[in-house]
Amino acid sequence: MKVFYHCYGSSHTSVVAAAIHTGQLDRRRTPSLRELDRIPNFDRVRAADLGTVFFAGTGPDGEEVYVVGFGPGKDVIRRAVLSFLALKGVSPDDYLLVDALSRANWVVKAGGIASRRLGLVSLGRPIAALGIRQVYQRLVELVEETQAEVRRRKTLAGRGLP
Amino acid sequence: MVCAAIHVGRLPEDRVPAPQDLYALPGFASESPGRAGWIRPMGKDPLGHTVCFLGNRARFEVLERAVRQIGEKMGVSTADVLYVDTMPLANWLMRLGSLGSQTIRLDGLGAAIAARGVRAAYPGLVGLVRRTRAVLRGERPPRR
Repeated sequence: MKVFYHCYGSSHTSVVAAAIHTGQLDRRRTPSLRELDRIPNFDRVRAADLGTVFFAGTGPDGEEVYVVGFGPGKDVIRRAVLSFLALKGVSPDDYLLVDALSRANWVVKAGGIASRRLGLVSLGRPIAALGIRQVYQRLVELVEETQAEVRRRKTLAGRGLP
Repeated sequence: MVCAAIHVGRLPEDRVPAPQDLYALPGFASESPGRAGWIRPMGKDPLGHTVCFLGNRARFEVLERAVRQIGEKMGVSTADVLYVDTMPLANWLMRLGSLGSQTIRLDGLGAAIAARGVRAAYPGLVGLVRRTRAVLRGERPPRR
């Protein structure tokens, strides 16, 4: 089983969701700005790397966790990925494509634009981190829903059910 | 969609097709907005390649990279996939027609405008298909 968290630039919501999923961040308390800044790739992926898949670690049930940025047109790219894998015979039970951007607020987006698009890192990074702190529980909920789905699929696969 | 249809022989290479020929393509005259991104097979070419098409409103290189890399992580070989960006050949009539049929749901008017645009761009679309075939035959390097 593989989990792909995606957001706009694989710099903010997806990397934080992946860090929660892999146990690098404590889900019971909101991380400090310093802790967020220490997450690999947090507010560091370049626009030229949109579409690049980064390995983030392994989840509690052995699932591999990745992050990827889809840029503008995420729904189109989601459909392209899903239909490509279907055409290639990959079972939809073997992976999850999780939209982390849906849990972002305008503060995260504004910080991300300032840092990643305008190059104003010293201004944008703290704003993005502040926004992440505001939506942290939403990201925890997203991860818990994702991990529950991973476990559900593993259980069904163990019983030989589709 | 039109390039894929030319590639598999559903549309002619030696003349510009009539609008009715274009309307007969699946989804040309009436395409729901939620279909953009779905990869759909058009058929096979004489060399046995499966020819597919998709509508793309994302950045081509981002879509290609994401599909390729996620495919590789899932154990799928992508070495046998050739991605061809047709958008540089889309003229304003094609874009306006697509907007008319998919965004504001004026299917008939949108399709008529898009067909006019396709007919104007048709020689270029045939040229792209021929260059793609040359790549598949190994006579040209793939775009990078």
